[in-house]
Amino acid sequence: MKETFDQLTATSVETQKQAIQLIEKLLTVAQPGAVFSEPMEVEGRTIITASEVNLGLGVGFGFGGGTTPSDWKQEKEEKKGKKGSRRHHAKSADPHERVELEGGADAEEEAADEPSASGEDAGMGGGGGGGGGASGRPIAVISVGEDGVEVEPVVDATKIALAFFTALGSMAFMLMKMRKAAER
Amino acid sequence: MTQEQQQRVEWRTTSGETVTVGEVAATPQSQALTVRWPRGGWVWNRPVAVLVARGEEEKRIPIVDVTRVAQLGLYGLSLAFGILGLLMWVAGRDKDDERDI
Repeated sequence: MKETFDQLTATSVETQKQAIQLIEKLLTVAQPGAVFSEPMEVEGRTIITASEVNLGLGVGFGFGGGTTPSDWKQEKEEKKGKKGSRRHHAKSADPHERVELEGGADAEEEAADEPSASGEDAGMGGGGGGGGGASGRPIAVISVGEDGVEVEPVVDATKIALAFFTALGSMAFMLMKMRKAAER
Repeated sequence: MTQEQQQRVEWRTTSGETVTVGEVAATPQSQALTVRWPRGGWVWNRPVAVLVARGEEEKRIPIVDVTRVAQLGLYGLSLAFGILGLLMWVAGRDKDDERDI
């Protein structure tokens, strides 16, 4: 049992270390290299693309174990006493009760409750999970030539159109409400 | 801000590699916001400007995110309309209450 526990703990610690290493890699996204591309030569000019980068991630781990409470023996004895008295009185034709009389269900229950000699009265469990997301969007193209530097913005027409229609919709709705309020 | 908070939230401007073409040297600059928590983090990195050096002359060309500016402008406009509408609704309700009295 102890070996299993140690093994599980070791695995958990290793996984957590790997997760922390992954989080450390987050910092590389904060470097300018993640935003600016490698310079490219096009028709005598050097071109660099500039993008916005967004990245987030999170992980979580849980690990725990437990043993039978110290007052287990006392509770067990109390239970035994009750069950024993029940057994003597149970003389029914019901098959379930017959099994109980033979010690089937009760014996199983006892086996589950009772700690074994090898010390397997402890339970443990653990779990973990993680999630993340990343996005990138071109913002501008930097063109470097002998005559100077030009910064050409990259316009995302779809995003602007979506924002325009959303704004238009909300403004139309508000105007309608305002007109109704004015009529009253 | 405490030292621990500073480590958790960091707003930093860094310069990339300088590109030289003839006499012109361009150094791109980016700004990164890093938020870290014990089991994760978030990084937002965006280009901000290009530093151009030509001989002794130096200038800074800002990189404008046209898409973001347009989006914020449009959303701001609709928010302003929303607030205006709300104010008018509140004013209209107050008038109705006065009439009832």
